[in-house]
Amino acid sequence: MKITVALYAGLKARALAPQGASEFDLDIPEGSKIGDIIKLLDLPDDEVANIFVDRSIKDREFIVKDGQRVAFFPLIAGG
Amino acid sequence: MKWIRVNMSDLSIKVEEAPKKYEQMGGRWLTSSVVADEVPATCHPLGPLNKVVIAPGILSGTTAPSSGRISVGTKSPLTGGIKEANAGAKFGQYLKRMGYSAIIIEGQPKDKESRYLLNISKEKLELVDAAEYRFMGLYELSGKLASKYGKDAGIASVGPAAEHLLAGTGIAFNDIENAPARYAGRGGVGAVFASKGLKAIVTEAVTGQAAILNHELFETGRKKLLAALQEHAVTKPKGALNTYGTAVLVNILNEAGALPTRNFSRGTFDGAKKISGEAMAEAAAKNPKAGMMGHRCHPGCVIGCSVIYPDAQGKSHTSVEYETLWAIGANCEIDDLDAIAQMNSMCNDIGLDTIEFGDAVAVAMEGGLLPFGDAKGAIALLEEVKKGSPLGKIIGSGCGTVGKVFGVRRVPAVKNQGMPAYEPRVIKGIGVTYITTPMGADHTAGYSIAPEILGVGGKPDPHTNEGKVKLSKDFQATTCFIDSTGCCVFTAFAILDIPSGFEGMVEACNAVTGANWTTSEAYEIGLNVLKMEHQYNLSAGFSANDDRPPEFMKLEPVPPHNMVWDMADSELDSMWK
Ligand code: SF4
Repeated sequence: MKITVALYAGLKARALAPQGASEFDLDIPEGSKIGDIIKLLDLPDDEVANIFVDRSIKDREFIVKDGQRVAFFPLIAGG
Repeated sequence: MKWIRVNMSDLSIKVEEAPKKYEQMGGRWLTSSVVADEVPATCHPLGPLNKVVIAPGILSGTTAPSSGRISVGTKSPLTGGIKEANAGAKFGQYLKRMGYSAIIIEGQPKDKESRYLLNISKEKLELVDAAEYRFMGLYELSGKLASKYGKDAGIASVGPAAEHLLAGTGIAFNDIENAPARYAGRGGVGAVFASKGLKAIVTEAVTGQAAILNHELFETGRKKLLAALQEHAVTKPKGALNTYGTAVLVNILNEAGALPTRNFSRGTFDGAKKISGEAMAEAAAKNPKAGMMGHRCHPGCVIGCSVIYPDAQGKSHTSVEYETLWAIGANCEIDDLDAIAQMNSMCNDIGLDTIEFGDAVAVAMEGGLLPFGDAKGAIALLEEVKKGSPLGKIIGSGCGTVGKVFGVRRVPAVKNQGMPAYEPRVIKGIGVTYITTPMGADHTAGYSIAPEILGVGGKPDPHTNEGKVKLSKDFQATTCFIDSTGCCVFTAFAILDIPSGFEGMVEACNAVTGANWTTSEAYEIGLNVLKMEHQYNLSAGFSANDDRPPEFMKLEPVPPHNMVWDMADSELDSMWK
């Protein structure tokens, strides 16, 4: 199944992502958890602090469904 | 404690010993206390009975990290209630090093056309005629004052929009490079300053350290606070704020479906990436001569969240903040970063609060004055504000006025102050802050976004009402204390997760004031300041009915979450019980 991945604020996928892209489509096996996608992309796990799936906060255990949008952020703040 | 009292009715200047009760106060604690004690709550905000109180924080002028904030307090012409707005600037650091804890400006000159400049140096205090600077833009004024008083002098000044006495105006404090870009922006404090016949205040550059009673304790506290700021991922060198500026928030609020778009009618903006901190960092890296990330608003800030954005022409714009990018960008559906940066600089030049301006333009767009996304039209409106044309005066008076004039019902304001960059129907805690703070809709008053969206200091679900009054109250009380110390509110990100940082901040304050506060007493001090401000508003005629969201937020679900404001009024009222 296919999902859309968005990476922000310096997070870079070290695998499977088109060179330099911050947003891309990704094929993943059915039943993948967010934690699996982090591994698949070889994201720096300890830097991933906030994850949104279709605009809602989720954790690493969440099972992603076909067509969903998953956004990853490191720890950031502002105001 | 000494303060300077300037009476603009008879142009007298006095240095007074402050009554004992004020001795340990600084920043917001001091400005709100003096306003509550000296300004009749029912007075006209632009009349002779109102006062402007300018006070550096307790730690300002010392080597405590990121402690150079200065508070401005008054009765607000925008809200009709008490107001404190603060900025980071060398101005207050100098004032404190000269031994002054506040400036109180009162009275009003008879001649409305007169303009004065207050010059504060170690040798003398003087009011000088400033007629030549009437209606002058602040970039030009800064250049002129720098050549007269030195490039390192501290400057507080008001632009032409404030001289037109518009309620959406602030006071500019010059940054290290002398740009008039650090604003005590909200609530019309600029208009009150201008109503006193003042165009600017200049403070002589003074190096060294403000008075400290216990140096050993100060060093202990300073080091603890510094260690927390240097350790936390958000505030450390090359951390999030330093690398991307505050606009690093654009994408995360968009991904959370809580980036108010098209005058608060949606929570996502298609152009978000184009106006983000990441986009600015890319532009700054391409043109390091004109652009810079990690800029500091005042000497001694160790975080450096400020941005100098270089536009396509190579022109520098200081400092393009998240709230501005959102207000003039997403909220008006403008995705042209250069146009937003240009408007940011124009607002700095004429003295306008960028949040109130963006809210006002979005409401005008909704009212049909110009289409959403029309950057050129918005720039033309700023020219009108500068001129003081009738249309410009309407825009410069804030979104509440614009809504009335154009018959728009969707006006995102509380106590007539426009909302900042977070959708309260989706993020309930920040909604409680907007609605209940005595300041009118203000995110900095109790920044529950930190835990609700950013995962800093906890991780409560943003979509639920449960526990949000307490969350907001705790943030508001703690913020009142931080705003009194002179420390930047962004230090909170570190000290929320690293408690020894807050201990250090309180210890440093004890070392300066001779107090013996614990961190829980610091919280109590903040809570009492908050209650005092609330009480002032009640005396000014406010009631529980002013602690309410705009009606449309209860009636209109905001996509993509399709949520409404659904917290009971009685729950909001529990804030003050
Ligand atoms: S963190 Fe930013 S706003 Fe705060 S004091 Fe430093 S530069 Fe100024």
